[in-house]
Amino acid sequence: MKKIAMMIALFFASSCAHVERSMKFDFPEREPCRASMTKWGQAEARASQMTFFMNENVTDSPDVLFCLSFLDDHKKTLDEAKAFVRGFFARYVAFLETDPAVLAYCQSLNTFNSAWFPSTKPREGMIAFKIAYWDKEMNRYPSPYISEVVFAERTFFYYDADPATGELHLVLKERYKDLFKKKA
Amino acid sequence: MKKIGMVLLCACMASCAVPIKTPDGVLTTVLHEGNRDLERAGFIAGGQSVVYPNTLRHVRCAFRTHDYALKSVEDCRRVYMKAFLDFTRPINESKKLRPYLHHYPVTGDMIELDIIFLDAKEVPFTSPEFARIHNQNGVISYYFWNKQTDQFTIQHAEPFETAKKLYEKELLEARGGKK
Repeated sequence: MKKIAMMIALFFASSCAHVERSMKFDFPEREPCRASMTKWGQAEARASQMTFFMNENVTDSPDVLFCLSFLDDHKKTLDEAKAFVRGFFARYVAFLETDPAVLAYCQSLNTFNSAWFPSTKPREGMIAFKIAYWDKEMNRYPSPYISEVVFAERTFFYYDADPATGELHLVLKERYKDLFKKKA
Repeated sequence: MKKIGMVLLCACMASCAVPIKTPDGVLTTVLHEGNRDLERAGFIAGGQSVVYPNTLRHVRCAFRTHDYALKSVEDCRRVYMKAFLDFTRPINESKKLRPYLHHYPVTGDMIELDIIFLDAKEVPFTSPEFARIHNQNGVISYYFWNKQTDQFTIQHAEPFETAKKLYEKELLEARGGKK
């Protein structure tokens, strides 16, 4: 029985470990960077008639340092979503590459570990965003409308939803470089 | 009895240590609702922890029960899947929580549900009755309790999705093929 007690205690205690780990390395430049990103995200959401959701990494990629997420109740087909995302992403990258607070944070990361963060600007692999399309009742729009767009690991992922279960299905995966190659 | 009490106390204390960023306490309410559904089915909540670093990614929860003595994998699967779906139903149905879910509807690897089957003396059942069912990383494992070695040993394991499909097929057959 002692083993069961130990096992269950460890089972729950281990879930605290990641929180502690994530607190160990932090920089004074991080908070101003986050504040600036939030401000930009809120302004962008107002301009694009979306709702700013959060300034946190909501993707599965552990490399992401800059991530914004939004909610949108507009129905968008794949083509409409792609057209919007192209413009949105260009504005997002332009902001990240020029904002003084973001650049100061990047500089501190570069000074801390240049092998891990070789540039003084955010790299595509560290940038992410997510736009989730929900109707006013918080249900996903059925296909052919898009339910979620995620950019992570230099790739855009477009999902639609199963009308019965609401589960997401990947509709299109587009590499960052391909998108801008086509544009050029 | 004291030992089981210690186990549950440890589990609860550990789970309280995790800072949970809930949208207006919705998560707490929803998880309590899930617990209540399981309590009605004879399961006693042991402890819960939530991995909530931005979106709700992972819930670990432990239950114990004295109401089931299960001898076959089929029976275990039936009881476990029903418990799993009862527990996750309030999470999926909460519209306030929905945008905070890392995956909606919640997937098998998001919920780590651990159920221990005890006899009247608070001791895990021994073979041929199953003593524990646990879902981790999308795999459900069914265990016997070995009294001599004081350990759980895996008797059967299957992907969560397979178990879910088998359970749904069984439900469908029980309803005469009507969805």
